[in-house]
Amino acid sequence: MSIKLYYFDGRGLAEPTRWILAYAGVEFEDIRAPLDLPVTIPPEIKAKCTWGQVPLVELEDGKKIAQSLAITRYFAKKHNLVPEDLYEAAVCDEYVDSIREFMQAWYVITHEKDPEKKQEKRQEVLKSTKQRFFDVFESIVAKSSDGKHLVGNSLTWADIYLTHGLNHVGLVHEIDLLNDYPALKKLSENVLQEKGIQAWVQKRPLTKF
Amino acid sequence: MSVKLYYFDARGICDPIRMILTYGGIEFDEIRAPVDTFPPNLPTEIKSKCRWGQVPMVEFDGKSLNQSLAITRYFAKKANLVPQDIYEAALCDEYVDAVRDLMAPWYVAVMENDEQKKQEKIDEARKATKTRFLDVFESIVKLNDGKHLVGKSLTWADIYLAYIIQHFEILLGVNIASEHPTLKTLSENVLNEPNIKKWIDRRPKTKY
Repeated sequence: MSIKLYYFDGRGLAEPTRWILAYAGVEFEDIRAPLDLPVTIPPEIKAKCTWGQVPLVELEDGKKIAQSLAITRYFAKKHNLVPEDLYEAAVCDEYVDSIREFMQAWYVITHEKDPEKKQEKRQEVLKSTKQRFFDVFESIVAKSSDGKHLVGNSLTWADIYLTHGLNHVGLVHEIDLLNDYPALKKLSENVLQEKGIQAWVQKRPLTKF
Repeated sequence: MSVKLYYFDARGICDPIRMILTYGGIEFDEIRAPVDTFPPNLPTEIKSKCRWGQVPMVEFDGKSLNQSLAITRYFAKKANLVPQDIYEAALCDEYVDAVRDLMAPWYVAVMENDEQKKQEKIDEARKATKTRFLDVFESIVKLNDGKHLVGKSLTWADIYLAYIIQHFEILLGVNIASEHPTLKTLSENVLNEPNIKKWIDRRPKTKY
């Protein structure tokens, strides 16, 4: 049996897992439910989902993992993207949680229909996420020993998650976030040059979310 | 290891960390910011130390760590509360994240000050969490060994779930697991573990 990943037809919370599997050269079934509004999971998929949500993964032996970060961290560990050192592993967890926070902050404005209000909210979110997150991540990477990793000297899932987060927000909100952040740009380019990830990003379905 | 933990004067999302530190025999000092308003404001002198401007934050060995689950998971590993097997460790991560999802509607009830509306919000939280979370957790424990969420020994997932059950009982006077006997027993067993009870007995008695 192959690994099955169930999610919507979008990048969202499943994309970091897809990047990690692509990086590791692991085949998987990328099962995508249509993303319509209101957001609904087809009954045949929902029935499999422990907590009634996606993403869900079924491993080769049929065992399941739910909750997006549990899934992503599992594959990160499996494919040497989590540092051996407990503290460094914890710092990766910390950074990924913070990336999720800025992604959530940008997600919230997606549903605003009034164009004027949306523009206002967009300005607010840009200002606050720059100050609270992007400036901080830039400083972390700029101070790092090789200038292109968040933790230690080699690729971790935190680098992958950050690259996806910035890429995803940029695509959804049509904004070039990397322009003001040279270290993050370098980190991002480094991640996107990884053979498996580069190939995936080139061939993945083009979706709004 | 000299550990300094920064949070509010509250159980909140920090008490699982304190339980785990105590269980693991790791001494820690605490800086507790006053809860004058709800939600409380973080004093600037603490906020400026926190990478993301939030607590909990922990300092040890000249380093710092932020984000409550990153901190909880780190000390859980140190205290042998994370399974060695990476699949079982992933289940612990999954279950803790599910407990966090379970908390959200209950917090809505906590935040409601009007007594009548509060009762309504409690009923809504019950409805929102019974089938989706509590029935599922009950079934997981029963299908496992009847006493633990994952494997045959205590993990941080058991502690986190037990903590939340107790936390909302203190906050709302409601045992969210009252209709789930296996979960009720699990939480009682966890909270009576000597090195967890040690923390519960000595912790400051706070509203939140």
